[in-house]
Amino acid sequence: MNAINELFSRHVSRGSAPLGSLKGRRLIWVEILLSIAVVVLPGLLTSAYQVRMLENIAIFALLAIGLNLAFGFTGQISLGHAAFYAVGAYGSAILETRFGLPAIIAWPAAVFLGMLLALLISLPVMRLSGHYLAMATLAFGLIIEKLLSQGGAVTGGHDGIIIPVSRVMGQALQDRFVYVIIIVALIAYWLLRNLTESSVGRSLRALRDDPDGAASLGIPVARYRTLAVVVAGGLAALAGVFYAHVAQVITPEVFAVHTSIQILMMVVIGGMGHRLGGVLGAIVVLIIPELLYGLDEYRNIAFGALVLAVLVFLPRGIAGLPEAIGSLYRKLSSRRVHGSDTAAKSMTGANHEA
Amino acid sequence: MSGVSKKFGGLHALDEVSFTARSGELTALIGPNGAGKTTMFNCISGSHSLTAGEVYFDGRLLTGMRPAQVLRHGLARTFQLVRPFEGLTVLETVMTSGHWRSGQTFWGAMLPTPGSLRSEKRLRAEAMQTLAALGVDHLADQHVHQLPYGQQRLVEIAKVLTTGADTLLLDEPAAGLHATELEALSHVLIDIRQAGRTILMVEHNMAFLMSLADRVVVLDFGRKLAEGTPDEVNANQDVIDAYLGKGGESAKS
Amino acid sequence: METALQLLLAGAATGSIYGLIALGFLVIHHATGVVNFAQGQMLMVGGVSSYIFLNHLGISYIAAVPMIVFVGIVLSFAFNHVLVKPLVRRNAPIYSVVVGTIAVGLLLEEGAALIVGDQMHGVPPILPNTPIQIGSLTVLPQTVITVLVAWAIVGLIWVFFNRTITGVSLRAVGINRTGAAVSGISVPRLVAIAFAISIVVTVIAGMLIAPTLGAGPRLGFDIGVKAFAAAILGGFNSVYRGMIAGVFIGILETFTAYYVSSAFAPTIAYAVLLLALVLQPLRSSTLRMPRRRRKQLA
Repeated sequence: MNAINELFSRHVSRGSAPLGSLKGRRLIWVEILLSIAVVVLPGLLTSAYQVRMLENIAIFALLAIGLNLAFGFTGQISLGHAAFYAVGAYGSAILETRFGLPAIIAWPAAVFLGMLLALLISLPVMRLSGHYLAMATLAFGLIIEKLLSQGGAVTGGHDGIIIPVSRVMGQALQDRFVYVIIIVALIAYWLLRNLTESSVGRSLRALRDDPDGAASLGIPVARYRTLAVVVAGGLAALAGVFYAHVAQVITPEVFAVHTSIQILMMVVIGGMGHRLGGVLGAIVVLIIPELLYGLDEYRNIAFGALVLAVLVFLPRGIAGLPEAIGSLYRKLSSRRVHGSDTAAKSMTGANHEA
Repeated sequence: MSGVSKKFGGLHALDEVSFTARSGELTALIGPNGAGKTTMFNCISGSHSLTAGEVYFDGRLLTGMRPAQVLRHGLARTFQLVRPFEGLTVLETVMTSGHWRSGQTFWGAMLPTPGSLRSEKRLRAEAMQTLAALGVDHLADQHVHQLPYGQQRLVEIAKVLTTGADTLLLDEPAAGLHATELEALSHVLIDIRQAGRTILMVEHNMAFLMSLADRVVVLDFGRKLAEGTPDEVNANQDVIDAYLGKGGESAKS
Repeated sequence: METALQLLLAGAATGSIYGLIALGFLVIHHATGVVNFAQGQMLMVGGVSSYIFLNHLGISYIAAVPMIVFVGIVLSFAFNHVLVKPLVRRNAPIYSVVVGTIAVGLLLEEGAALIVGDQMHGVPPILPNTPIQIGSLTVLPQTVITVLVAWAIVGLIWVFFNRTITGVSLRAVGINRTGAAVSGISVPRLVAIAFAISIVVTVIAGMLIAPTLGAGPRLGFDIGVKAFAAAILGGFNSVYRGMIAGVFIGILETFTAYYVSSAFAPTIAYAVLLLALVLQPLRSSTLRMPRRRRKQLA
């Protein structure tokens, strides 16, 4: 509004280029470079195992990016995210094998189903928060998991469904599927990254931190929450579609509570509310077991311990690592110089006790 | 734009309070603690519902609207308790106030259109200008909850200024500020009023308020005691009685 | 008719266990505001430990019980010091605690899987499984003992909270932390006691139910959700109502298992939870740990 410009133009003096933009400008080049690198990567890999690994990471990146939007940015925790993952996988599989639909119809339909389910579940539980929301989503995930294993002929029960991939996708697509997944994941990343860096993104974070305060600034809290969850659900369903056609067989165990928790942990470890959080989390969580090869049984324990360590020592996740190191460095160097620094800090801190 | 007028009744905290705040003026709402000032604000902004009476704004009935709607009609308020957005910096917080009129939509924001880039630039510029006017632009990249109380209050005011609302409800804006901050705030308020905006302010700091207010409304125990120019109110016997003992302190500058 | 009564009793037994875990939830939540998402895994620890002590080490029940209690106490201390205190100190948002307790639950599960293998194991009952005749009912001694012991524990807990100074102080801490501290109550000590009680009760419950349900590392979330359903139904503020709600859910489960399908039985409990949560009056838990300074979102 020009009114403000006119009002304060004489106050704008000290050229204050906000430093935030500087970081942002550097980071985008990193993101672009990494995007290019990722697209080129499949060509450099030597074994089918590595390709499979990459596909896995891309699939989980889709899951984690979505959950990061819904939880990290908007504050809607979900311990049942694998339910949407399942809807995508089983949805597309069922439409293809039981109804004979071609992929071109089955896949978008499955994604749409995922979004629909997300919408339906978010409506009643949206006003819950904290523990209650977490428990509700946990129960939801457990119910879906149960339905899958008890679905009889439709879902194949415990044996699951086998997807005749060559018939559905054709050989050409099948060979290049890794590129499809990577490119889709990249598109999803950039779309969501733009969203979270925009004013809408800030509004999401505001409504995560203080819904009432955000509402009084005109932010449509309920609508944004629902949209975030629906987008997350859609991305998860898409990931499910990809998974079904990569693994070629789907069983209920793949979509159990543990998967939901795994996705949540990815978001936490990667950095909640940071644009890179989902991707970093997916990469770290899936790569670490590879590095611990040989200590196979201990990998889950290592994983759990890692999450705890991140929570206690690195609350902003790996994405917050540069910042954490920076502040640690500053704290150490200032302590050497000003011994009374901590005293001053604690005084200002006490001032804003509510 | 015509003025705001409020008529209340029946609410236990407020008893048949009626007054008018004219547009382009700064009206101060004063009274001892518990007189019902914040309740009044809550009623106007829609946080509380009225037991009886109406709030008229610009000729329109305001009662019954929710806070978001109230904002769209051009009225914004600050809160007495600072409610910082934990994960946002000062700059981001103030930019968020401008979101509702930024034109950015959920789906649209996913694409890097020139429109949204321009919108971002504008939001940032406005936010920085407001912060600069209040003298806190150097804090732009700090997190609000790490700031001392006085500066948090200034950020609150910056927030409400950037909403673009023409009518501002300020709940004790001077609280916790020291001399330089108070001066910056005065200048800002004078500028705003000159630009034609309307301010309704609750304050305890008499010196600060008397120099700025065009009209003063006095509440006590939920009822209106007096309404008029600062000089009129100062001379009003009822008001003096209510503030017995406070008369001397309020003269301090 | 007999079947219905059998189901009733069996449901009451498992339900009482849900109630005990609900009690565990309740005590920790009251004292600290934390919902321990790993409570189900704590039960599992009780079950698996019983398996280790009774089956592998051949210890008798009489000796095993105090050992299990000891395990519970150690676990509660570890939990309190490793997870809760650091998070509380940095005034972490509630989601950090949720995720943290989940992580602890994961660790417990994986640890148990490492030690005893990722499968269900049988645990011998307290008294041999010769059925007792009560009227026209044939019941296993274990079922009866489970119900009796569970309610005895609840009774003891009630006495603790209402008739002992420590217990009353603990309630005070939950109601008004600063007020309690100012009155000279040692809040950290009582919080530690709260954790100990909650976890020991849960671990004992695990031991009680192990002969009936089996002991395996993956029981945690399933039971935790059902117990939380009991806690919610019971209103999250009363020892007795949680138990009754638990029994209700247990009975609902056994009836569903028999008359509908055994596989769907747990789903009923989850659905109950969802309904209870969705239909309860708008009650949102606080967004922050109730402590001094506010800090950044984790």
